[in-house]
Amino acid sequence: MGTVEGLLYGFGVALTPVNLFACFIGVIIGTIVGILPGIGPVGAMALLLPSTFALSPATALIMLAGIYYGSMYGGSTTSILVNVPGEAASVVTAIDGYQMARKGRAGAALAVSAMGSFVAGSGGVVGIVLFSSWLADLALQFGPPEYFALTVMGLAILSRLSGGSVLMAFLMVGLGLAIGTVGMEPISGVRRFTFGSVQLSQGIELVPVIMGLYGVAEVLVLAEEGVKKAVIERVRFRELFPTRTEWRMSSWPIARGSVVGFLTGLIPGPATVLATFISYTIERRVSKTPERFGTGAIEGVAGPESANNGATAGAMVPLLSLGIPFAPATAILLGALVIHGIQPGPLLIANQPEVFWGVVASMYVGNVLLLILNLPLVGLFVSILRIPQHILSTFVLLLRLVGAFSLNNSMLDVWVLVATGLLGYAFRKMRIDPAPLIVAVVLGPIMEKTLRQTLFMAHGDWRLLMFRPLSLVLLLIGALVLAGPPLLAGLRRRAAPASAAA
Amino acid sequence: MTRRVAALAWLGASGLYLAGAATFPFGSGARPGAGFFPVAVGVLLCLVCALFAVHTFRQASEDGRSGGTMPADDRARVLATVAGLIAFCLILPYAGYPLAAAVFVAWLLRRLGGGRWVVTAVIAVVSALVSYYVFAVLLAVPLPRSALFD
Repeated sequence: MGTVEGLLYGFGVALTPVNLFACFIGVIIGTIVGILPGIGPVGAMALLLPSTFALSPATALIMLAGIYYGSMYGGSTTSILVNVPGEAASVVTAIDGYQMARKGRAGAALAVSAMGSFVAGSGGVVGIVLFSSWLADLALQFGPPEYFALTVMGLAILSRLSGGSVLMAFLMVGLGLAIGTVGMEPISGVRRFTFGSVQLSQGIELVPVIMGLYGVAEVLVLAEEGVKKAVIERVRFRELFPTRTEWRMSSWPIARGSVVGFLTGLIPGPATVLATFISYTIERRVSKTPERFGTGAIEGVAGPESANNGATAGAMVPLLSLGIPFAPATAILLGALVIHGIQPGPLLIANQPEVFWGVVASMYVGNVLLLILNLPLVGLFVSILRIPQHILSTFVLLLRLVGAFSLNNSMLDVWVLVATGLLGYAFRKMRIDPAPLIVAVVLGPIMEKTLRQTLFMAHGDWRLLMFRPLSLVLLLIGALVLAGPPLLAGLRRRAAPASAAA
Repeated sequence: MTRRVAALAWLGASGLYLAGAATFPFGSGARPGAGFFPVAVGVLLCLVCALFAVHTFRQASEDGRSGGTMPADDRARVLATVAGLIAFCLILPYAGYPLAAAVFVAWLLRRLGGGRWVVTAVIAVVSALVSYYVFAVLLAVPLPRSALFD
């Protein structure tokens, strides 16, 4: 199936009433999740994963993906109107967005942000189609050594890019890999770290781990902060139109943000957050009046808001073409695919075209829906913030507890949720990003399987990883990303006294 | 102090993991067994945790930081939430979902937001029953039930 044929087929799948409704529900939930602090797209996707068991694989993925990119729209709304970013990828938007709101240009900021998100999301669909097909063709040449090298490279880059120190990121990777070893080992059937529990033989579920580390931990942080009342700016519909000058000033930042966001999404790490910071920095650098940034520059809203949506599209590429998630949100999408009996990987496009093309086309449909819904309903969405935070936190916790139980009808998952929630809270206090842990839990079993296959193939000779060009390149990239910055810093330190002496 | 305790706890836990991993069949380089990967992960964890411990102790002795203390009210709210979560897990299998959920909601609403008891009780009972209906009846999740509902 060619690209155009595939996309048309995808629109046929995405526009069926069931899938359209799933997309609508997904983007609405995503918007609300983006607005509300304390839930987050990852936690919401994990929470809703069990409710997709009865749906078809394509419908389930369409809904979950809708939550992911929908949350980027919602996050901007509260950043601009209340100076409360609903999730981390909207923190940068608040800098200039809220200043614009204080100057009476909230409507323009919201409109530009929605348009930027739409452009980036739509452009991202084209990027997914182009990159996924190419990467899937390349991945067909991958054997166990290449897959092992890819997981190593992914974790190395993630360790370098996630916030905090590399040491902490390694600790998270180690912990995630350790969690991934719990359960029955698939080759010889040995039970590892199960302590005689039959339930643990199936391993530790990813979903309660994610819900705990992100969702429960966030509620604990909110509990610590106490009751806060949001002061909400009112926006009238007629104010939602930027001036011609504002449109002109936003067009290039939107284009740049879309490209930067998509490319950042391809890299393992907290892509949506990273993309906003990169875009903001670029816009300030290229601006002829950088002093306006921080005081309500529309470019500071247009660029980052396009970038975070572009990044959600970019992050779908490794998942759909390689079957390897590089971020917690795409790890949940992988979980959804596996639960529905679909093997993600390079053959997904050929074997499950309705899933691949359906999801890709639904992202375009979802972006149109978000554009239509977000601007007229902005007042309604923001009014959700009027729900007292302690009531919201309580219900969110209750839903998470029931959601964890409903995965396997087991108390073990509920205990895992609580335990990882406490762990996640401790990580937050220590300023440790748990993303490498989540990705390592997912990649651990793939890493173990491919490592053992590689060693079987090579009769124990590790050098096979170096003899195969693709695996060598992947390992070198990982090593370079890890060792590059400290080496460069060391060289600069050496060069500094020499130049001072000269 | 907290960071140092955490560093030592991590190191201890990593050691325990490695000791557990060493009990599984290791195999050989050419035919790795079920213990091969866990041992590799255990060694990595021990190394990282040891470095973390050294780093933490060195940093603490250099700048003499003991870490900020949380205000008593903030700590009380966090502890109340944790206590609610643990209590929910403990009583759910025995008391059943509706009762455990109502108690959990009432406890958290009171501890996190205050307000009137009557309102709290009404919200708690309604939310427990509605969520029970949605999950147990509509979505057929076999939530534990107390004798009252049998």
